[in-house]
Amino acid sequence: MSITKISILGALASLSVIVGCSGKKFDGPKKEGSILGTENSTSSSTPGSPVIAVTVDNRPIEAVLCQDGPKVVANAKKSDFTGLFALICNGDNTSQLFKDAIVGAYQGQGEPQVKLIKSTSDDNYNTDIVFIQALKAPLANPSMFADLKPHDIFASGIHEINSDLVINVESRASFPGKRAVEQIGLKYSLTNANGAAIFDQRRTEFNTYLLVENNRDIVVSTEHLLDPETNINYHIANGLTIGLKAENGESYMVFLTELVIKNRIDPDRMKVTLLNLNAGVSKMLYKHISANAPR
Amino acid sequence: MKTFQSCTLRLGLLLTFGIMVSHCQKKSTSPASEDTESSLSKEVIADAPSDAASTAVDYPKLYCQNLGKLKLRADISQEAAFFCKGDKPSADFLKFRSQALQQVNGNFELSLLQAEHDPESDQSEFLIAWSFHVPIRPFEVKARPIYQYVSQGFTTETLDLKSLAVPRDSDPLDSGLHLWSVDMNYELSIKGTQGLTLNSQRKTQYNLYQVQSGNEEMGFGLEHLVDLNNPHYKTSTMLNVSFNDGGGYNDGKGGTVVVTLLHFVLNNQGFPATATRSIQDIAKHIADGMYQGLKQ
Repeated sequence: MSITKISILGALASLSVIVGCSGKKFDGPKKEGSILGTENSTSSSTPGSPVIAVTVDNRPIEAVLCQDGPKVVANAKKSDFTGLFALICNGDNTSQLFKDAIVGAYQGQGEPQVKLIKSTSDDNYNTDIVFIQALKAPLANPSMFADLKPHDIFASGIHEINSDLVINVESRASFPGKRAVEQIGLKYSLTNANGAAIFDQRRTEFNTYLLVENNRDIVVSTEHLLDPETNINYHIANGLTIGLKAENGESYMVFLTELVIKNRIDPDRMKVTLLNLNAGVSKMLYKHISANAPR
Repeated sequence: MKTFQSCTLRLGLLLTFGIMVSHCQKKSTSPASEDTESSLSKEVIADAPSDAASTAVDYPKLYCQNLGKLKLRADISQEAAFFCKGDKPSADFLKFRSQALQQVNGNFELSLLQAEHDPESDQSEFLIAWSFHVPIRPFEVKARPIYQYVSQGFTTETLDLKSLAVPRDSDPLDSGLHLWSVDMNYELSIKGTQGLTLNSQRKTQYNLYQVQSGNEEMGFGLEHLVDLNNPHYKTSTMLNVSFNDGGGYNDGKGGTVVVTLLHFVLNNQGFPATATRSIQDIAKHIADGMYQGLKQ
């Protein structure tokens, strides 16, 4: 059946986002697809100025993200995340897309906003999807996010509107090198895509970095596909998760995901599936953090 | 010539990194020979807290003339170069001796001589040195369990060091100048976040030597890494150079100058500032432990 389509998941967990990686960039013929997500972006911020009034290393925290983030991540040589950083940074400042995500961050009320910012398909059934979402939760600093082991909550599955995804933690290592505080091996298994039973699996590696060595107020996580050359479902599954300290004992978590899905003839089903599952991820994470974060 | 006697020195650091050393030459010289005395060391000895009349022995030079003759269990050519240039003492060696002789009540400081970080390999290299003067004789310094002084547990807000020293009682010594051998085991945890720690382990061997047969006024301690495939430490070496403060020669006179060098080459896991701070904290802990054990 329709085993077709689908794709993947997304971001999961947040944490990092997913995305794949691979060294191989998909660049087949593309045509614009429909934009499905809840694209309600909120543009209440002033262009060019930071939206978070926190400084790190005597710099606005958003400047630290855009100045140091690409360097720290590139030095780890896990995958190419320059395209994702280009979406959230304009030079030393964050982009309007990023600011809008911050302003619209899910805070436990209503439905999380998952914005689909790219959706293209080609005649070879490859689909390239990029989306962003954010939440604001009661974490004194974002490095506590790793301490709460957020990935563990997805082992029981994410079940959201006729879609089911299970994420299992297969490995975990503290301080694996290159300024990473934690490295987690993950296995995704998407079994139900908006009502269609499918086989869709991938293994990824999720690494969390401190951008400023002795500062816990800004962290960046990357996620990349471990088998981009042989995975039958994905060309790329890359993710960036940005953790930023906010005011009043809270932190923002921004999840940016890029998936290049292969061999799915029903891309719209996959988009719906991913958007729904990622909204579910935001809700689960917010609930987990709220219940377990140290006060 | 050569009979044994005591030695001095000691200790090592543990921590890990390594040290190295160079050789010093092997020319044998009578301890009482006037030609072994450099003008620089005469000046230093003149400041010594002991009998100024016994300035006949140039201990730094005598040390360098004999260190290279010791049969050691590790190559310390890199670290030894810190103390000796051929059979002559280096300027650093003489400087640290002078600092020890001028200290009052153990008021010594550690010197971070090298802290280099390679971001490509996540590798850091540290050289740390210090010196102090104690009133007990070199012979007694060698007789004390320095390995216990440097293997005491150490806990701060950011790190937890557990150490274990086990004498190798069944291990034959290498020569008449080899006084003891101890297995050292270290487990270090550095707090990264509230829930994540950077853990490392290392095994070293700590050996103590008398430097010259028949001379109880000099001692040499060497700690070196024994688990050569250690993923965290490439080098963990400590040299302890101890010798009479200038006040005597086999006559029961004089205190002891102890100069220690630590050399570590380690994987900083991308956290060079944290590694630097932790290594300095641990070196200070070792130095304080040594001084407290030897100060009286």
